[in-house]
Amino acid sequence: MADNKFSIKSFFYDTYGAIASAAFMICAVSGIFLAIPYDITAPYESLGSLLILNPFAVFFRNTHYWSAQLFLIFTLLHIWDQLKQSGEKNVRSGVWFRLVISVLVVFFVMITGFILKADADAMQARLIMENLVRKVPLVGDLIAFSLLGTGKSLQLVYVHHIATATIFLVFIIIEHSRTIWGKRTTFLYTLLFVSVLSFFFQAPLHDSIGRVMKGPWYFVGLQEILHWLSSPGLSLIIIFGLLLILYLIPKISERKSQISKKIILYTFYLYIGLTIAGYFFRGENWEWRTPWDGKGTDYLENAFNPEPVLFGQNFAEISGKEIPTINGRKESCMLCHKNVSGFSPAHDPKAIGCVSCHGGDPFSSDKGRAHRRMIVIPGNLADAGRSCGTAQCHPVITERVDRTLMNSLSGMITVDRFVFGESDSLSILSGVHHLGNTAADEHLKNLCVICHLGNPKTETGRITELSRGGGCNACHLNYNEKAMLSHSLYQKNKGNSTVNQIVHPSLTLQVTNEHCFGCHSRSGRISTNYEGWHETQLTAENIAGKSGFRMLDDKRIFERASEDVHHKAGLDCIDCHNSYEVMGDGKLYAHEEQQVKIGCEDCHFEKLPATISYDRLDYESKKIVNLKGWNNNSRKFIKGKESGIALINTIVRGDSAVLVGKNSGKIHKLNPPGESCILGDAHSDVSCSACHTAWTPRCIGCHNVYEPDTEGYDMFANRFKKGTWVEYTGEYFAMQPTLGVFDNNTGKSVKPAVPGMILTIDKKSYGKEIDGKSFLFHRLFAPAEPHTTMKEGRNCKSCHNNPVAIGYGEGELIYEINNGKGHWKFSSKYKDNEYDGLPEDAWISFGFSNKEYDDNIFSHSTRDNFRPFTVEEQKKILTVGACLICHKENSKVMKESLKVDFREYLKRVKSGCILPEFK
Amino acid sequence: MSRKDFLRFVWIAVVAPFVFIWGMSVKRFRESDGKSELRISSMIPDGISFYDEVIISKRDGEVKAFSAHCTHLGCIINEIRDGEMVCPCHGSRFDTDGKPINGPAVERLRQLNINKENGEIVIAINGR
Repeated sequence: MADNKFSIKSFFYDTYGAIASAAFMICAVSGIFLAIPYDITAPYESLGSLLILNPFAVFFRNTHYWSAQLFLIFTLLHIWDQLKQSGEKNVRSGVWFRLVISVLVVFFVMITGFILKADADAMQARLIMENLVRKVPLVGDLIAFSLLGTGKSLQLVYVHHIATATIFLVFIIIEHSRTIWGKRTTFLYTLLFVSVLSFFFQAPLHDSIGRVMKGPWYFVGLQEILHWLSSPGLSLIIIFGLLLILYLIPKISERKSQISKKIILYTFYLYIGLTIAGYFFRGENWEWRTPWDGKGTDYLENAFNPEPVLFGQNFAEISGKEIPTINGRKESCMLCHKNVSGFSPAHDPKAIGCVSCHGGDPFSSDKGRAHRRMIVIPGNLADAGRSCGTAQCHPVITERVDRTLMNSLSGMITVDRFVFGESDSLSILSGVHHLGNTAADEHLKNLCVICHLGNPKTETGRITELSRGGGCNACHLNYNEKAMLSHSLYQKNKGNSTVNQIVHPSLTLQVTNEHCFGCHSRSGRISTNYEGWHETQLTAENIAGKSGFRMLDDKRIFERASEDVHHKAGLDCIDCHNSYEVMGDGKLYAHEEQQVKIGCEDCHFEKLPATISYDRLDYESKKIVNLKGWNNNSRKFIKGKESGIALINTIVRGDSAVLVGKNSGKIHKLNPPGESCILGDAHSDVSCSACHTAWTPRCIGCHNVYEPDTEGYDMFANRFKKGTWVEYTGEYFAMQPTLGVFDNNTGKSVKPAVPGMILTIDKKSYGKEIDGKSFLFHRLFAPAEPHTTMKEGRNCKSCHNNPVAIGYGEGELIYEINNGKGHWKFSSKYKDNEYDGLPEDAWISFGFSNKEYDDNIFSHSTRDNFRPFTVEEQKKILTVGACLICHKENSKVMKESLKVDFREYLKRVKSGCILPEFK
Repeated sequence: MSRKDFLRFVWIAVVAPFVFIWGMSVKRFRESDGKSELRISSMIPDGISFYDEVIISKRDGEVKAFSAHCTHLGCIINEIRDGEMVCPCHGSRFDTDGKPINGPAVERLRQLNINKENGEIVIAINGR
C-alpha cells in the first residue's frame, strides 16, 4: 500500500543504506589520496603542512571527513529505518550478529579517524578510549593494547583504521546487502554533495592552544555521560546493554521487540539532547555557557570552519622546510613575518612560536584566515590564561596576578561600599568583577576602577602616563627606540597591507617607573609623590610661562615639591617592591598594607638581618637572578623580615650589604638608621615613615552627587553612558601628615594618616536612601605610605606641638600657663563642619574628656585596626610638647627622656616645670 | 556428537591457542618495552608545574610528583585554575596534593617516586 504520509526518506534520492554505502566508498577512496601526504611518524605536523601548503590535499581531507560523517549519519538512519520496517526478520542469525558487532566497528573506524589527527583533542580521546576499553573484565587490557598500541605511536591505530575496520565493514556491507556497488546516480549525487561540503567547510584541527577539549560530535553525548559517572565502566554496561537489546530483537516476541526498539529510540533521543548540551553549552573547565556569551567559540568555529578551499593560491616557491615547527605544531606565521625582530630570548618565535601568544590560525597561509581570532594584544588578563598562562608557560603566575590587589581593587571597593552604607565591614574581600548597580558600585565604576589590571590594553604602543590596566603588559611591555620607530611607521601606513611592524616590542623584566606611573599617579599619588610632584587644581593657562610646574598627559597640573630620597638616589619602584608583592603571592588580601611586605628595616638595619644564599633561593627569585646575570654560588641576599623572601637585588658583604638597582645596575650603600631612631624605647612604636615623610597630599571638602543627565563613563565596561556620579573636590594641600596607629594583637605602629574619606554623598540623587537618610557624611582617615621620604626625620615639635600631626587639623595650638597651671588650647584654621561640628580638615576633636571617643576609637578610619591617638596618647604627646616649649629638642633633658620610663622621668622634673592639666 | 557440534569443538580447539599466543605475544612485547623516566632540573618553581605526563608540586621546599593522568579516564591534566588542577575531558578537579575535589574522578592522582641525581630530579614513569 502506498504510504501517503510525509516521509523524510522521500527527500533523499535512494535508501539510507545505499547512501551510507556510497559515502563509505567515497571515504575509502579519498582516504587513499589523503594517505599520500599524511606521515604517521609526524601526523600532526604533516596535517599542518598539508593545510598550509597543499589546498588539493586539503580538499581530499575535507572529502574524507565529510563523507565519513555522512556515512555515520546514514548508517544510523539505515538502522532505524530497518528496525521500523522489522528488517531484522529478513536477516539470518549469524549475519544479524555480525551486523550488531559492526555498529561498534563503525564507531571504532570513526574514532580512529579522529585520533589520527593527533591534535590535543585526539590524543586525549585516545587516552579515554584506551582506559575505557581496559575496564572490560579479563581481556580489557589485551584488547586496548591490540587496538591502540602503546605510548604516543599511532601506527596501530592507523593500521586498524585503514585496514582492519575498513575491510571488516566492506565484508559486512556485502554480506547483508549483497553488493557494495550501489546505483551510479546515488554515488554521483553523494559525491556532489560531499564535494560542495568539502569545498566550503574545512575539517577541524585543534591548534593545541584553545583550552576547550571536545571529542568528536558523535561522542560528545558520551563525554557528558562520563562527566557524571565516577565509575566510567558503567558506560560500557550501557553500551553493551543496548547492543544486547539490539541483538535480541529478532529473537524475542513482537511486543517485547517493539518495547526494545522504543528503548533504543528514546535512548537515542536522550543522547541527542546530551550531545547538544555538551557541544553548545559547555565551555572551559566544564562550565556551563551559552554560544552567544562571547567567551570564545573557537571550538565551535573550528568544528564548522566555513571557509572555501583556496585552490588558487600559489605555493610553488615555498618549501615545507620554511614553515617552522614549534612545540610539534607547524606555524604559518613566519611565512609572512619572517623578518620580525626585537624579542626577548624567552619570547622569540623560534622558542614559542607566534600563535602561543597571538592566537590566530597557524594552519593557513592566507592572511585573512591566519589572522582569524587573532589576539592583537595578548597579555590582557581576559586572554592571559590561553596565552601567558598555558601549562608550558606561566600558569601559576597568571593565577597569582588574578588574585592580586591590583586586579581585585578589594580595599577600594570595600571602603567605598562602607561609606555608602551598603556594607558594615571594612575587612571583607571584594572584587571589581562583582560590581553591580548599587549607588556605591556605580560610583566606583564612574570614578575609580579604571586602574584594575583586568582592564584591557586595546591599542598597540608603549605604556604611557595615560595607560590604565593592561594585564601582563602593564609591567612587562617595553618598546625600545627601534620598536617605537617601527610602530609609528606601521601606524602611519596602516592601510597598506604590505607593511608590517618589523621590530616587535619585548616582554622583559625591565619594569620602569613609567610602567607604574599611569595608575599610581592617581589615588594616593605615590608615583608623583615619589618624584616630588604635588597635584594642584590649576589649569594650563594658570601656569603658562611659569617654572616649577608639570602638566601630565591627562592635563592635570602638578607643582614641584621635595622628591623622595630614594628617587633622588636613582631607585626604581621595583628596587623595593619585588615580584611577590606586585604580582601577588596567590593569597587574597583586603588591603594594600597586607600585600606589601617590604619594610624600611629590611635595608636600614642596625645589625645585619637574616640572609639567604643563592642555592637556597626560591625558584622565581633564582630565575630572575639568573636572567639578570647575577648568579653566583657564593652570593648571599638579605631575607625580607615579613616576606621571608630574598631581596634579590641586595648583596651581603660581611656585616653590611649594598643594593643594586634592578634596571640601572647602580650600587647603593645601605645606611643604618639614625641615632635618634634607635635611641631608647620612647619611639619604639613609631614607624620610619611617620618621622621621615616629608609631605603628603591631602584634600578636603569632597561632595558626591549623581547627575542623571550628565554623560559619564563606565570604567569597568569601558563605555560612555548617560548618568554619572560626579565628585566636587575641595582644596588640595601638601603638608606633613597626620599620624595614626595600627593597633592589633601583634602590637602597635604609628603611621602616617591622610584624609581618605572626608566627604558627603547625596544618595537621594541616585534615588536611594539609607535608613531614611538621603545625605551621608563621613570623616574617615586612611593609613598611607606617601613615598616622600626625607633623609632627616621630622623635628620633635612637628609631632608633639603640631595639631595636624595629632589629628586636630590646621590651626593654633598654644600652651598657656596661668596661675601655675598649664593648659593646651587650640583654635582651628577652618570653620566647623555642619555635620559633625569638627573643623573641616580635622580627624578628631580637641578635647580630653570624651569617654565615648575612646570607646569608638576604631570608627574613625577606613580600617578596622587603624585609629587616631587615644585620649591618653594625646595627653602623653602634648605633655612632651609642653616640655618642648622650654627645652630644646637636642637638649640633654629631652634626649634623656627618650631612654627612660617617661612617667618616672616626670616625677623628677624641677619645681619650675609646669606640666599640662587636661580637662 | 553431531557433525555440527564436532565442527564447533574443532573450531574452538583451533582458535583458542591463537588467542593464547596473541595474549602472550602482547605480554612479552610490553615487558620488553622498558620503563620510562623524566629528568628535569632541580630548579623548579613553587606551585604546580606541568611536564607532559608528570605534574610537579612544590610547596614549602617539598617536591612531589604525580602522574598527570586523570584517575577517571586517563586524560592528561594540563590546567590549573583557582589553585586547582582541572582535567579538560570531564571536569575533574584535584588539589595540589593530588586529592580529588570535584568529580567524576574519585581517586587521588598517582604519586610517582622521585630521586635526585647530580642536580637533577629523576621521576620514574611506570605505566599509569
